[in-house]
Amino acid sequence: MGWLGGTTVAMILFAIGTTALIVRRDLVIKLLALGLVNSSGILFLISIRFQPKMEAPILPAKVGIPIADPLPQALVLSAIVINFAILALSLVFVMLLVERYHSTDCARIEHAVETEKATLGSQNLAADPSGADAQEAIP
Amino acid sequence: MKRIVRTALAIALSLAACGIVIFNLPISEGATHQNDMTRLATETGAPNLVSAIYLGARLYDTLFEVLVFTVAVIGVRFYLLRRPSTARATPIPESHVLQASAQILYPLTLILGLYLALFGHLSPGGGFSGGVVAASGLLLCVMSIGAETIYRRLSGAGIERLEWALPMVIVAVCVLPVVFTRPILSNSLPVGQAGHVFGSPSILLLNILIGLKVLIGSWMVLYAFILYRGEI
Repeated sequence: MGWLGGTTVAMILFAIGTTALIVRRDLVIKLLALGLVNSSGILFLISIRFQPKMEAPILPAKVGIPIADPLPQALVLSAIVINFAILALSLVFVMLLVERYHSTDCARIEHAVETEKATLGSQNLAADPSGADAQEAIP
Repeated sequence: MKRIVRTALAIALSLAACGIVIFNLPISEGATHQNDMTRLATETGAPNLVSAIYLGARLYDTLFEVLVFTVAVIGVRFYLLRRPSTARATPIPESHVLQASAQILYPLTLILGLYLALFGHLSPGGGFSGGVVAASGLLLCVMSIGAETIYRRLSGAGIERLEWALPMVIVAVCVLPVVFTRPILSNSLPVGQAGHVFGSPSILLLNILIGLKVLIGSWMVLYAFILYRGEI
């Protein structure tokens, strides 16, 4: 089982996450997949500078035992906080979309937006033949 | 059929992307710069090297991390709270089992968060994780007592002004060394004995400020979601 390290698991998680991001149409599942991709990145960055024998990077370390590299761990901390921020903000946008179009399916939302645009555009053309304000009229 | 082809293509693409990265990467045998690490620990007074890096050597990164968090809190509140108040849902109380167990758990969680923030430079932890743990304690508190009561006890809008003020305070602490004719973003307070709680007062101060900031920010995000959804 020597091949089953943190990097391999990170690779598998990344593949699952990216596949779900591309294939699934539900926006909430897309966000979960984005979180999975983010976690796989974190796991990867931690495990490229870590071996199972190593100690945690807290001094004083035991003599003769190497400590893990603290630099990727410190940098990954930003990634965790930014992941939280992105998740909260995009959940808000999903909530607004659901409130307006009553669906989390991105294809359906896209279709609804297209229909809305088309109807608004035809209305505007009827009112104003030049159609210059068509973009601004969409709420 | 189209869906299967799309799935297979996606899996192949993502695996290829990872494989290219991973199989071209040298795996290290350990921190080769152990002497630098020891020097960093004595300079900042923090035995936890991760804290010493993100609140000592790379404090500039952490400043922008705090900024990103603030922007996210502002964004969530801007989009959720600009709706008319009549459209907001009324709170639904939780079940009694959950209320009773949350009442036992929330003091422990809050104390754990405080411990993580205070001892972040000595042991695993720090301001960010301590703040998030304390915020989940507040969530348990909301489950047992109710969101409106907590909002009133935290003096409502006053805590929001504190949240906007805290990034300024953190920046001020980072600029403070200029007063003592030291370079900006270095230790703002004198370093004491390494391994002691007050061994690195500037990292302790920053941990407390960041923990408070994350706690209040997460609480405000939580409260915006509670007002919007009406659950909990």
